[in-house]
Amino acid sequence: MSRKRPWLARDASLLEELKTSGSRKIDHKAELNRRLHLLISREMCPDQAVAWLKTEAREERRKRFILSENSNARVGIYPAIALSRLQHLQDGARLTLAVLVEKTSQLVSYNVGLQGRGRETDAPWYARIDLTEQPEGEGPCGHPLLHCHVGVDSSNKGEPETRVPLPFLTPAEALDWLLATADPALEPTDSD
Amino acid sequence: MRDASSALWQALQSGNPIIVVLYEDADLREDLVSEMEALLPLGRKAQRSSDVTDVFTTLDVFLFLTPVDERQSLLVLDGRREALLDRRAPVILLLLRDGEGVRSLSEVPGLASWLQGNEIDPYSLQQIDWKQERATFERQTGMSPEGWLEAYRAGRIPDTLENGLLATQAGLLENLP
Repeated sequence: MSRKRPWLARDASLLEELKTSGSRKIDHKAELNRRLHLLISREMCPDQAVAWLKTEAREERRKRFILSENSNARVGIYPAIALSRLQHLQDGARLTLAVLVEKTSQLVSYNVGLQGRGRETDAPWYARIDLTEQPEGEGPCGHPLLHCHVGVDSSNKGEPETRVPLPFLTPAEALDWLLATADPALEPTDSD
Repeated sequence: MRDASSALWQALQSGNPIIVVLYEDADLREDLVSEMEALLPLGRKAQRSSDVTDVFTTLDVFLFLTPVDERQSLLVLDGRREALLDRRAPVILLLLRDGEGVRSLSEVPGLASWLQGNEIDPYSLQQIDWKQERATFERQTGMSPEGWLEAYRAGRIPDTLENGLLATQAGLLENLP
């Protein structure tokens, strides 16, 4: 059996789920705001964090939800939200978000990241989940359409470039995963 | 820096008894109200209404008012505008951009003067200047958005967090079929 075929099948299945999610008309910005409200309610970020997720629109064709320059942290030149009180990351962990949608709800690509230093270990840690619009890199095994980078340095250009394949996740679900990783108390519950 | 989300958030927190938010069409209006509800302080109550008399009876809730007859509602609000000062949470008056309500503001100069500076047009604030943004992108990266994306996808540009964020910008700016 072809070694490549299962990976192509995974990407094809993901594209199908991506298409289906578009027809469910999920309001991705509202879903992300729900998570930001959760963080606000736990005093993990300032009240105005919901106002930092702005919309950039290209008429009715494409929209990008991205953090604004008003936000309270940076990763390089890019705005981020500083988080505190996370169980496993020191205060000042930085959350980055960017979601590109077609019309209002069809996902095109996204990028959800969290980085900081371990509370007990003081070791640098970052993870980011990327959905890419098209196949990238050398192939669907090393570079699946939806994958998670985990490492110590988000600007790392070294080897190996680690991309862990993921099942389909919306941006808000990707954020849930990152937050629950950094603080198990943020694990989604039945009542959420 | 002014963008729709921050402008709406500031207006909702401003303590003004009434603000005007313009919308494009009925479908987008619902999305807009949902977005504003997400910006409210935690635990604050909100209500949607098309009945202008609710302005004078529901004083503690953020009232999203979408009147069917915009002009008539403005006349009512203008006639009783002193009563707006009793409100403990704002009325968010949604008016169709270029609609009858906006055209009628000249008939209610008293209310219009209250609204001056409290009018927000989220749709306009969200729109990017596509040509200018493309030019900026090209100046900063030395490549067109399409060229940059091609190089990124081929692995010629490192797959870093910053470049991942830049890829969403290129995706917003690229030429679409």
